[in-house]
Amino acid sequence: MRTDYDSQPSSSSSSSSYRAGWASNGSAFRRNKSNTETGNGNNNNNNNDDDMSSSLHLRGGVPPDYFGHDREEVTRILIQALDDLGYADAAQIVSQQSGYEVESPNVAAFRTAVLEGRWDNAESLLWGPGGGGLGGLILAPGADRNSMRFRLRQQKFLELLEQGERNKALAVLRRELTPLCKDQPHIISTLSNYLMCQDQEDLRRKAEWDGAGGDSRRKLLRKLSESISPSVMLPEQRLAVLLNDLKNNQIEKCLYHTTTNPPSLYSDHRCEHSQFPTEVMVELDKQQGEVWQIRFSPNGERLATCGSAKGICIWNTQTFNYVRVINTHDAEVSNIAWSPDSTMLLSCSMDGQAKVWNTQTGELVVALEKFGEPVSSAGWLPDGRTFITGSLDKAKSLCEWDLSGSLLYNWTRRHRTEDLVVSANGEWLVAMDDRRGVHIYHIPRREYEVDLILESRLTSVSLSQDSKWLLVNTVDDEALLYDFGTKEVFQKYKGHTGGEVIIRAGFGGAGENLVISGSEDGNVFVWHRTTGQLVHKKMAHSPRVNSVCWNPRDAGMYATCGDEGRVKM
Amino acid sequence: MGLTYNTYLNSDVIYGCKSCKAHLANAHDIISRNFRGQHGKAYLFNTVVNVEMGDPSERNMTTGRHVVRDIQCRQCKDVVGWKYDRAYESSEKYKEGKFILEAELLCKVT
Repeated sequence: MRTDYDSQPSSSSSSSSYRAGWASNGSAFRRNKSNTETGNGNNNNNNNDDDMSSSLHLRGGVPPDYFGHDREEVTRILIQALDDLGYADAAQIVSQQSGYEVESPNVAAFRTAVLEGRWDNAESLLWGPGGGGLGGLILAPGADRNSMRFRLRQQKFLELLEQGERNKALAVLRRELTPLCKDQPHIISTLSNYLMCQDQEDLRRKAEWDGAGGDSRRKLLRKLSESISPSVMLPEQRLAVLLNDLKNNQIEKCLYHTTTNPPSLYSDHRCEHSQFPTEVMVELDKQQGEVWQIRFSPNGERLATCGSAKGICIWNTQTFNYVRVINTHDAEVSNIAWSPDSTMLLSCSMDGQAKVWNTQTGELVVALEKFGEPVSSAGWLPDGRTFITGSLDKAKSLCEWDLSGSLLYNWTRRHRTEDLVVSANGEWLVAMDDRRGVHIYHIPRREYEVDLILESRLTSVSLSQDSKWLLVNTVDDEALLYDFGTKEVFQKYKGHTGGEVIIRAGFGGAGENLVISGSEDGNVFVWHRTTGQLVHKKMAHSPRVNSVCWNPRDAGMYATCGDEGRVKM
Repeated sequence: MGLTYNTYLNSDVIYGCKSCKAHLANAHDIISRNFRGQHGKAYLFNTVVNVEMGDPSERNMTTGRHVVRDIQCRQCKDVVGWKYDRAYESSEKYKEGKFILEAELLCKVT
């Protein structure tokens, strides 16, 4: 079906400027491409499902734009996408019909020249016959002509060397490359070193170059095309790039996003509220006393809880039966940490002891030497054999141990540690002290990186799986999300109350788009991570919700624990 | 009560609870050493940490009538001193809101 405006059956547009905002409307047509249109508010029905080879009539009065997008841009991107998808004939027909070409003949000639290694040809096409920028291809703003020249000639040089034509290569080096690098002699010397290479293998290894037959020409083309104006030479796979952006945008906006399936392009993606976990499915109350911490194991199969009752309970998350109790601590257990392979559990208790347990057998693997003050937290390194403990004991406040119980490294004596988290890739260690500071360390380099001093006392710290976001929970009724790279506050979440006790917060939802936290008033709060909007609030425990944890494998399940000794899922 | 950790002070000399070593007050924070409690010498402090306060009661002390509350260490619940709520004589008003810790019940924590 065609709408009235659509006189070009083939030009189903798909791209447009981001700035106009996204409201995507998928409508597939036979080639499985999807349409999106912008929030220009135009109608939603640009269905266009016939393929190019049928109906070739053009209607008169072709409108100059396609629902607010430049017709030329749209058509060319489409043609490129058709080509990428492998429908070369269709692409041809479209370009004939529309009169637009993806690339002007100059650009096409340039592309083939580079891919075939005709360097002089390529250069003259690039700069124009005068060599001084007359004619030639229009460059992107800020393109550096010299660096482009250099790349071209470097490729030429390397290929000549590969073929064994040392003399020619030397000539290239002298005549063409040296004048470009007058102020960077080390480049010339590196290149001349390549002259010394014995054979092709050696050359390839030294220059980290995969030869004329490999991908290098295409890579060169890609690099060069970045410097050429995008309207002359379309960036590769433009349509795919745009669609990806669109999907990500939708996912970010989705408030209740709890599915891990990537959204289909056919319709706007919105998770329904009904899919969001709001109902208590199961209540577990084997744990006596107050429950202070709950953690799902990384594989999502087990749930461990600990608290004032001096024991740790482990539950099976499929059947919600309780698996075992580990009971030989003498004091309350303040925190637990699962090993990355989900077999071991480290428990931290208020009497200064930290113990590692085997969760399958319930046996003690190792007990660390007693600290002077409570052990507050722990994190495992990805190798599953070393872990870092945080404690309020000043002499051993942040220590790294291995499974035999020997101290590998004492990180600091500058501050006491009340909570810590290790990034999933084992690179960063974030420790929170008992005042207002967050300290970040780089693990492999064993270096202290930076401090963040906040305005109020902190209660918990958490890192997202991709190590991009840092969440801290404070006593001032606020949780802050920091961008881990720039160390700046990205978003604040309010509504929950803190005050006297440790209330923990964490990430949740598919793709970790949600922030979930407990609260002193007994509610569990869930916010949308990017916008900070409160998505869900529900009374969960009384008097307070101490900790929350989202199941890492099932985006539809999370668990909360509270002071009356119950765990709800 | 939820999970709470003790507060830790930053100083070279800190007084702590004799039984459980929880930090109580900074030695430099002493206002006066001239006090006597039930167990002997006692010090007047501006601020103490990690203590819980009891109910106020009126007592007759050597210096006059006062309203005081007993304070206990939050960890081990031992009484460590008291806090002045109100002093009835104007010369004693300076004590209001301040804390007394008995030296006998304290220990030095490094």
